[in-house]
Amino acid sequence: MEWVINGAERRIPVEIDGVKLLPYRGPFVTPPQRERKYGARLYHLSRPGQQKILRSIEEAVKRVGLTDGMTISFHHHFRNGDRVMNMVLETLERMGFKNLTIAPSSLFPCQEEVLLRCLKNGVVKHIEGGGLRGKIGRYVSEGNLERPVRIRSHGGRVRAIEAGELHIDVAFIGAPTADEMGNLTGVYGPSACGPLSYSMADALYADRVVAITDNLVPFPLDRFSISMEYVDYVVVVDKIGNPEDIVFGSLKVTSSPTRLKIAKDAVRLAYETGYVKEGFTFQAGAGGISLAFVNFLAELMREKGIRARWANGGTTSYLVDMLREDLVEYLTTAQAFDLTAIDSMRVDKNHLEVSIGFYANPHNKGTLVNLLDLAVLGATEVDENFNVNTVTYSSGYLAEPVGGHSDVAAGSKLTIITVPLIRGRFPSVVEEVTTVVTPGETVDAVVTERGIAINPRREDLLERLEGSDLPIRDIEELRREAYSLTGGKKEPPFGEKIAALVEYRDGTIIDVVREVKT
Amino acid sequence: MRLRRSRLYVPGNNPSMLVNAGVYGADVLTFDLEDSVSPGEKLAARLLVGELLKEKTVDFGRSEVTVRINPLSTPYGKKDLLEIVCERLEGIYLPKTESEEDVIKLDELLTRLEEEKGLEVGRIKLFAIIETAKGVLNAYQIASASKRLEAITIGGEDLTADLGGERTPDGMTLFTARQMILLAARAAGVQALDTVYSDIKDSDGLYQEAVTVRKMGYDGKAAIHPSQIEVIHRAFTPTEEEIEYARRVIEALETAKKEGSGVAALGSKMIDRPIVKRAERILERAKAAGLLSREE
Amino acid sequence: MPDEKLVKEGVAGTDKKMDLIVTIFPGKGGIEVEVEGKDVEFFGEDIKRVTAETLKEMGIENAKVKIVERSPLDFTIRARVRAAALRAMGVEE
Repeated sequence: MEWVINGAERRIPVEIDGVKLLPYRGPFVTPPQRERKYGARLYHLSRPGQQKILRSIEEAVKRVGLTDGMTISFHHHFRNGDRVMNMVLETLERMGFKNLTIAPSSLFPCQEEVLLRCLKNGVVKHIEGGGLRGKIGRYVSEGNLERPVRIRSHGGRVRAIEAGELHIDVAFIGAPTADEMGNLTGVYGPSACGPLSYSMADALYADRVVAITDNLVPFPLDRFSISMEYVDYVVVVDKIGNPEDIVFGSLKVTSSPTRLKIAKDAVRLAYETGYVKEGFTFQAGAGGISLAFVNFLAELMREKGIRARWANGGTTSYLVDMLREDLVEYLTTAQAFDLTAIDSMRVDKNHLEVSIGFYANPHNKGTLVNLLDLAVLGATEVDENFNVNTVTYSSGYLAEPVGGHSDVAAGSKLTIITVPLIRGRFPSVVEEVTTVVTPGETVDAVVTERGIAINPRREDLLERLEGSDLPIRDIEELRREAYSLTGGKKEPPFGEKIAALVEYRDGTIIDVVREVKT
Repeated sequence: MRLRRSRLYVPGNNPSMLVNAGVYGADVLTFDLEDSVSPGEKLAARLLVGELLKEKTVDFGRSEVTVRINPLSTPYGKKDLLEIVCERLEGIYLPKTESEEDVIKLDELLTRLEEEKGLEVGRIKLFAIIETAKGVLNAYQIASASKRLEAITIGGEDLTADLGGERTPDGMTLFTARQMILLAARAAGVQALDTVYSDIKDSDGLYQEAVTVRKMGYDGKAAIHPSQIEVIHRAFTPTEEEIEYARRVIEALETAKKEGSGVAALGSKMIDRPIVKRAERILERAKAAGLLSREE
Repeated sequence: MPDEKLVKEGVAGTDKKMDLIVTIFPGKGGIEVEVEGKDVEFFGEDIKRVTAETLKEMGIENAKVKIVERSPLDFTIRARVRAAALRAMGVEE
């Protein structure tokens, strides 16, 4: 295999399985490689009296002509409360399908059992996309798939769909409310999940689209996110998801004193460098520290009388409170993280649903992340070049998603990574990250409980911080302290085979993830 | 004397709390082997704090490193000292101090241990926690009993129990004790530190109490949770007016020195020693709060 | 140094994050250390090493040690091993 060093100083193969790979060159260097967008198949002739409603998934599968080896997709708006993918896979298993590729926008523990079984018995042969965690992450890391997975950010997934690199044969869209013609929304219904952002590109570009709903209403659905123009069939089932389980993982404000300190210092950093001012825009990720950040930010804004122009989700009740308190003028939501956020999308006028393409696709004519003033994101690891890892720990296993991390970091004027210096005996600030997901050139500051490091590229920030009380230290110093406390970073037990390629948002390859030797 | 506005208690048997103790910017850290450690865990906590103090890779930042040992009348106190006296230890908090004998006994033990371990004799400071009626009445003797002793502090919970009373929002229960400890401290020339505020969720209540004791003359207050440190520092941060005033006092003093005049005055008021001390304390606290410019 | 006598089972530590539970039994054939825990593949060897060093410093040459780890730093390992050993020697709190 021939290798080349890319712009993040990682070795990547020149080609794999006969496909040429583009090496990462920089956050805003590589344009689209194709001249035209890829299009869905044209075969429909709609006519009066057509019937889209079907009684079972099985019938829908037959009608769309799904065959072995095809690619099917799903959204993850229900997070750990999703039922759609399990229902579809179980149906396909029963019907005897084989060698399918799934392209979900992310994956959660509630899907592990069914998916693992389907991987082992050959129903599913390949996975396209990020969101590899838990048992599925381990399965992929142990080299069980024939071909490496392309791990993409949210924005990168839409780019790949529009470029035809991720071709979807059948998109299955869990729709909390659908009318009989296939207009879909996620905002209303007993299983409301908020937006249907992750499915919008799927609906436009997949050859066939099957909506699965538990709330069928008569035409017209007055407010829809996905138009009937793109939907082949509507299947009615009992329940498509559990909205209560959307709140999965770290969606509670942290109570750990060290993490609270990190959140507080991050707010101070943003303020002292001048990014929190009237009309500013911001986004904070998921996780206990990010939520605490939002709270402390709100406190500061109240104190100084500052109003933000808009904030982007994953939307939580904390952001909704800010909207209702008029601390923020608008909320944009591509993913709702709790029931309050979903409710707010129904009732609050200034709460906008946006597609993933609108939010983060770099190869379009304008994207939301480029308008962010301030972003606060987490990490599994950060290194001395400010490169960020979000998918693996030093165990080497694929354990977390990319999400919108590299998208947001590229676009935001000030990108702050909040991370505890050590996690138990593992250092989080290391010499070189296990996997580069977000390149250091898009990261401006790292805030830990033992100090803040500013990317030397940002001399302007260092100037603004002169005379500040904040504990500004060199990233190398932080790394040395992390190593001396913990004894250093343990190298992951990687083998030779490549288990996954980390695709940057522009389609280039920024790093590879090798299999873990067991 | 060192600034001791805030003093964070850290339970001595909790590894993750011990590791992170130094990140919060408390003026003083007190690793606790006494009330937060159950009798069955005294040995374990003692060794954990002992090993922590020897572990050079754990940084405590700018905080003064102290340990609250068990009283010397218990089987644990002396063993605590044997384990924890080392290079990094800066002070010992002695609970239930009732008389000058308690202080002298500890002083002598410390001297012996410093000699045995080849440490600079007299370096480890001593702090007396007064939490009984008898202790309050002996406060001045306690405060004057040793060169090592730099502050006396009040143990509110235990003292309230010893008095047979209950704490009230207006602070009346401990009012006299607080005054007496403060008087004793000032007369002996040492610092007076106030007790903890146990309602962690009530920052406003903590702030009010901290301001009250600061105005009385107290030098600092203890904390049981990192979130309280910032509140306490705020309460001990001087206002703009106070800082201005302090600056003018120091200026007047320097002008008088330059002119060779024996007496300094601010307006019509003479500036004597207590006024200078107060001005210096204001500026010291202002500096710690980051309110002074680099040159000051 | 004379071999310190372990007379019974000694336990120290908690199951909190960054701590470990050390159980020491009197043994015959040198120092035997078993470690279990989520990250044992990464830190098992380090924990064994620090444990053996600590016991050696205490003059203990024979012991069976069982450890359940939750990602402790070295000073915690040393403290818990010492405490468990002292308890195994029948030393009082």
